[in-house]
Amino acid sequence: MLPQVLFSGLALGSIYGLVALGFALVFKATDVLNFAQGMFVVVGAFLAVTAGTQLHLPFALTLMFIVVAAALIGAAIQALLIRPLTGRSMLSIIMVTIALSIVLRALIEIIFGPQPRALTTPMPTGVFIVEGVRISQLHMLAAGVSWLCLGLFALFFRFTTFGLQMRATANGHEAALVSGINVDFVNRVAWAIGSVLAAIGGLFLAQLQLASTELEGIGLLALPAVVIGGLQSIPGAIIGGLLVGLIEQLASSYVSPRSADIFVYTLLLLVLMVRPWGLFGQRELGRV
Amino acid sequence: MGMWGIRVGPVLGLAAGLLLGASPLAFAASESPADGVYADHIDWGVIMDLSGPTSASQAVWTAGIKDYIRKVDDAGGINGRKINLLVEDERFDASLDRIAFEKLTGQTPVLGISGMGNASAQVALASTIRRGKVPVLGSYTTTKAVTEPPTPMFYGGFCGYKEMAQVGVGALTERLKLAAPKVVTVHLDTAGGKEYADFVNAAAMRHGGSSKAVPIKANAADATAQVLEIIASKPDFVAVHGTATTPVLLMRAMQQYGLPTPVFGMAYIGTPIVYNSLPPEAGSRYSFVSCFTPGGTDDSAGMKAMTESADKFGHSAMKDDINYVAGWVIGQLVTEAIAKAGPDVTREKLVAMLSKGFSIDTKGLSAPVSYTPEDHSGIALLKPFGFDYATKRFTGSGTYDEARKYEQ
Amino acid sequence: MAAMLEVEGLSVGYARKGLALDDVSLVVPTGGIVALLGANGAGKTTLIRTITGLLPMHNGRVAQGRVRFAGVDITGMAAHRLVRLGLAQVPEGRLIFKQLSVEENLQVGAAFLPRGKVAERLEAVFALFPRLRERRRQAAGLMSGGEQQMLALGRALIGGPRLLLVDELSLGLAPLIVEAIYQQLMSVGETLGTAMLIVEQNAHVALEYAQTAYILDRGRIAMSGDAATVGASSAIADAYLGLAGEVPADV
Repeated sequence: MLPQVLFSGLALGSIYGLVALGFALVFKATDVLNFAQGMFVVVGAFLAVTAGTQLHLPFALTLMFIVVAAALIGAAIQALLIRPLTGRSMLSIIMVTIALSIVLRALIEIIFGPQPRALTTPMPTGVFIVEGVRISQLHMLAAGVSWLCLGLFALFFRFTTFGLQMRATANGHEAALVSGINVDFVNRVAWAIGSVLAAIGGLFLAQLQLASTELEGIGLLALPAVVIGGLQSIPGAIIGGLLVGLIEQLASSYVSPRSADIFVYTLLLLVLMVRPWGLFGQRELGRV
Repeated sequence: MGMWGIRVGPVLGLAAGLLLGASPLAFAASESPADGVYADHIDWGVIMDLSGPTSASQAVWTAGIKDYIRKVDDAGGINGRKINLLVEDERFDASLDRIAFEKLTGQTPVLGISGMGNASAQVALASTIRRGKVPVLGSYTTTKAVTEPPTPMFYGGFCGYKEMAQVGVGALTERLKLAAPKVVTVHLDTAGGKEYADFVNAAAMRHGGSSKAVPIKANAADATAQVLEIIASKPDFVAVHGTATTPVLLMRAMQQYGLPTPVFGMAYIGTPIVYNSLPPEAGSRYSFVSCFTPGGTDDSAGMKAMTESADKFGHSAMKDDINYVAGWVIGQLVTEAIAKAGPDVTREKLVAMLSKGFSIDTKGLSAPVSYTPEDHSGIALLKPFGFDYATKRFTGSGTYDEARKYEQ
Repeated sequence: MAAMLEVEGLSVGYARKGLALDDVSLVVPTGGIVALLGANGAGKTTLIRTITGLLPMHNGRVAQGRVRFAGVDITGMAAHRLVRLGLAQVPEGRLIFKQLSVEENLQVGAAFLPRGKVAERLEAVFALFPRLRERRRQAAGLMSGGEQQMLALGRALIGGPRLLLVDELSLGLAPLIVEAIYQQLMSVGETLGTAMLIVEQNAHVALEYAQTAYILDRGRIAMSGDAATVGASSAIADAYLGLAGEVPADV
């Protein structure tokens, strides 16, 4: 039982980590806590439904469609909603992201109806059985792709000029402006990346489960994930995602499915009380 | 009246006969606006979830009752009155049920109400219904709160949880040739879900087996925990209580973990949506029990009449959904009851007629629908159904009467 | 001598407040070093923000007047474009990227240069500040104040600016270190011909190196002229203390 639960927890946790990375990235680069990140996951799922189930695009085109459309949506939201609010209080920007998630949910329910949609893609649905542990191929693929994305972003941040500019912007806005960085553009790219990461998570969640607006709740697990990991820390977001996945599956299996949230948010509370800058954040930057 | 040129079905024949016999009275009858009865029409209420989480099945049910009523109205109505459905959307929110119920009993009064598919709302409104004057005829779900003891104000219109559990467990135990069935019941963590799990447990124990209840949230987006539980418990088969989403979510996750365990659902979730959302290799492991026959399963007279109307009203795709059939059957139930209550029908007369015992013949479209003064649940027999992906048709096994052996 | 920077009749206000700058004019000649003096709240920071395009970030707006850089009207131009035009600044409080390494800080400053030139410019900065080469792998936030100031200077110089705005460089640094950094700054100015606008609360230091000086007092230019004249005038005492005839102790 335990290895089975650990496998599921790590696989789902990898997806949460991916979504949480998008959330942390937007926060680091633009100082915005994006409460619409959960809805971006749903948007990704329904982009997949649109491309795969409704337009019958080949899978490769479906993937491209999801990435491009999600990036455009993220960038458009930054340009139209977030940028004009530069300099406003964090609270008013948070309210805007909450309003955004409500509007997106309503739009999706108007376009696709309130019922969940089943997504069918050529992704594998089989299983490997290793010493009694059932290793779902789809979970493996989801975890693999999540780690690939995480790896690619790590390389991008470490070794490219634009990645360096993003890290610099995350470190200080005014400093970035003073140093000749086009901060507005960096912010737009951060929103686009955050949206794409959420959409990839949404694609996998829709294939693992169903495309429905209820995926928002799973997307919002990114929030405890980043707070536990450390709001300012990119590796923290990923490890926070894994932890949330593990805790969720352990609690569901050994206590009750309903208890999962209690355990996740209790850990969140403990972290906020004992180490408010998160497990991997830095003390001086531990603003929450 | 021009209705003789129209081909009349058996139901309409009955209505027309009554109309002919009673026409002088009918036209003399005074209006009873407080009961929703007017000179030219009768208002009848429907409270269902049309845009909430259970709308995938309840909106289809509503289409079914609407189509039947439209068929009757097109043929001239009952005793010269058309039936006008006042449909309230309760979005699976019990507080909206109360508002809708009060609206239909007072503000825009109706003769009676059908639907009420929200079990929690039904329990909450039980005493109001029992004390009130408006009968609920043909409910989409039936709770103990309104049937035990029976009240003249409530008449169920759907297969009962207990019977669904008994026939489902019995049929699968027999099909899989199990000596002592080991069952996992995945159920919504609501009062109804727990009740269903208890019925499954009782049925499994009757066959010398056992069961384990695993709850799932109504709006769950992930069934991994439930599947891990199934992996750990290694049941012979799985029983599902929930919305159409529940078996899809569960069986997709089971497929990803390579679990070939058969699954059976309750009648509500024996719908094309479920089968269409699952790949054939997973969907062929799913069966359900129902007291309504999905469209296209056989060629009974009732099936032919329904198919003809559904095609005419543009609902060809919906008729394969047992929820449409259920709505259609309740349409027949309502119109025949109004007709039998007489041309000067009032709430009081309708209730008096129903409480003495009443039944309809659905001509093979469902198990018998009948009420006795002691039992208002309405439909007692069910049988198992599956889906053939090759022909895209539902398949029934045996007759409703045969399934009686699984029930106590 | 042609003007590198011309500020003409500039009035600037912040949202729902009065004017922070009122009809300010100022010229920095090509290759020249100009000091901008004034007490806290006199408008020095607002003037710098207006020139460097940071005003919108602080909810300020230009009411009238214009700023020209090398003959081009740059009023309201975005900050990052100004840096690319060759207008660099060493901001007050240094604003280095504390979590990035020293070398990464410099690379950020050089990000707009062609890829091939970056290494060469990095070497030039390291030659100017050997301390930075020693600490190139260190997180910038862990260095001493003087070293951080060198880094801010290096980051501004790495792009090869034509005009350098230096805001409150001496703040929080020991006098000896301030002296050393100014010496290096002056040698840069001489060798590369970079024009500089030096904003200082510490008038004594600024006047020592500048050729001309402006005194800003409550949003207006109270006096301008060559550094020696301004230093000797009573306006400087007025500007700092609001008292005629008294000179602040450090002047």
